[in-house]
Amino acid sequence: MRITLKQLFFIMFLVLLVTHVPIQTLQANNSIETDIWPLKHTNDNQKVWTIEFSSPLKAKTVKSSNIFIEDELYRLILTDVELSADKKSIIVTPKVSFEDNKVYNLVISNEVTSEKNEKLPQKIIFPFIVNGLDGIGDDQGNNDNGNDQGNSDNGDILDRTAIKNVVINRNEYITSITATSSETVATVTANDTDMHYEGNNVYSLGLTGVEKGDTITIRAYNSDGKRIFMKDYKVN
Amino acid sequence: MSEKKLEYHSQKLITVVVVTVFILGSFFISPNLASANIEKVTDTDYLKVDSPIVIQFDQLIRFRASVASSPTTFTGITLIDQSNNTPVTISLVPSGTMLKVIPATNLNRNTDYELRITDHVVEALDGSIVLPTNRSGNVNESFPFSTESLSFKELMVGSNNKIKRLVDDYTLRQIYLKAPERYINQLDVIHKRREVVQGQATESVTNIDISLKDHAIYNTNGDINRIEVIAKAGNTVFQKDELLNLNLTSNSGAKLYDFSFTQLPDTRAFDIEILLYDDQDELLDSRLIKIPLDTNTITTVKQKDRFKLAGRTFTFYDLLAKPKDLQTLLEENRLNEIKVQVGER
Repeated sequence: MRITLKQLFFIMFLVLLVTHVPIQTLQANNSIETDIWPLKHTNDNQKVWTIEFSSPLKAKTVKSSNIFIEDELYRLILTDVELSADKKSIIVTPKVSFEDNKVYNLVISNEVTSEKNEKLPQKIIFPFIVNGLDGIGDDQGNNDNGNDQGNSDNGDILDRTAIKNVVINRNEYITSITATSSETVATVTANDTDMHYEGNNVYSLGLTGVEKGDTITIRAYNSDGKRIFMKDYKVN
Repeated sequence: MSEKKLEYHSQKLITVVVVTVFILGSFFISPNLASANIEKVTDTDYLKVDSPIVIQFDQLIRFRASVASSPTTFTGITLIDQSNNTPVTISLVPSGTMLKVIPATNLNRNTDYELRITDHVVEALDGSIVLPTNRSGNVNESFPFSTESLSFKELMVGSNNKIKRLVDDYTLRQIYLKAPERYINQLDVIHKRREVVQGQATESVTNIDISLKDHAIYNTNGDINRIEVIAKAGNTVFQKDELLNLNLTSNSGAKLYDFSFTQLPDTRAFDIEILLYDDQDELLDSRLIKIPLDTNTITTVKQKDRFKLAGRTFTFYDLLAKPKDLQTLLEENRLNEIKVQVGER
């Protein structure tokens, strides 16, 4: 895993062992206290995560209280947290095996600072799943008749009831997505595009170019702009 | 020749004569039986208001001599507005195998029409008639159609979508998608919930500011006549209010309109719907805002959408050729806000 620290803005990359996989630019939105990244997948039950920064980090901020892994019930997973020799990487090694089909959160507190005392603008959570079915999750994705998708235990969900139902209808021209939310949800996005509010807690959006097997990521935000739900749905 | 043979030949002769008389009689009495056929007439429910109405024959046609000498004062074809049973001024243009009926002005939206044909206005190039007649040789045909719209959702989504049926009759270049015109520039909602101040419970208060676009105000057509605001959840209407007779026809029209409510729900989410109507009470623009359930005392919602394609019309072919435009159309509008109609060529 690689994280780039440049002034107050960090650009991050996840790394699978020695392989560096770029993900996306960190949001520079100070109103969001926690930035939750898309769910990642691994088949390694003893996955060692490496978080790489562009600037050297202050050693005393790299500790297990600032970088840790927790399961979906917020129980801490025993890990070793080390700083690399060049002080630009944090290596998180689990002391126990991750369980299959469970979502874990690798949490990086904004107390982690550079040697110049630059703090992360917000806490960051990297959710990951181990040996998840279909590479996504065991109950994710829609079916042809648009039944309720429900909420799985393995999505990136802070409020499991935030999105109650997602229906995806795809034809050769467009794909229609309908999401039903809880009352606390203020806005919903599908693949980072704002969905239209239809009333009565229902949101909709049409998308072009969606192919069978593609993934639609639904995110929900509360009235403070804080993301409270994220989950991938596979298009059948 | 035996008597039996004679009887046989007589019967045969009678049969031939009867058949011949019948054929010749049919030719004189009903000369059109061997004539051209109408292949197709505009009969859609979703005709674009600026489209011609087309009668398609199976062979080339021309005006009959009586019409050709004065093609603007023909009789025999009328277009009736069914809503008031009055004729619409039309002109006729024969074009190859088609007769185009062209209204003098755009048709009215959401209106039923009927094309009535009561005489032979056109004929085949060999002079034979091309319109069906009854036994008396009279023409009496009527073809209804409408200028309703489909929503893009009805066209595309669900097992009952209409796209297949429409594509059977029209090409993708004849199917038009229209993005709605937009009149609202920005909406600002403040919802303050009840709270206890110095031991006294305060009432919930809600304010809605509606800021209109410049063209909504400085438009001499005076489009916006009524603004309605409804606070509701599902089918339950909590409160509503409206501003009437706005007639925003001059530069004096205000750009900002505000509505206030008290006692809207504190302990559940609700919706605020804003509706703008013209002087015919036709809906011009609408927005729906959700006030989510929130633990904060005050919830504010600011909504300022960009509508780059507002009011624009595309053919379905254009949108499929430029998927970026289609995606923008979908991002700016709900599927049921995009209206679909067809146009004849």
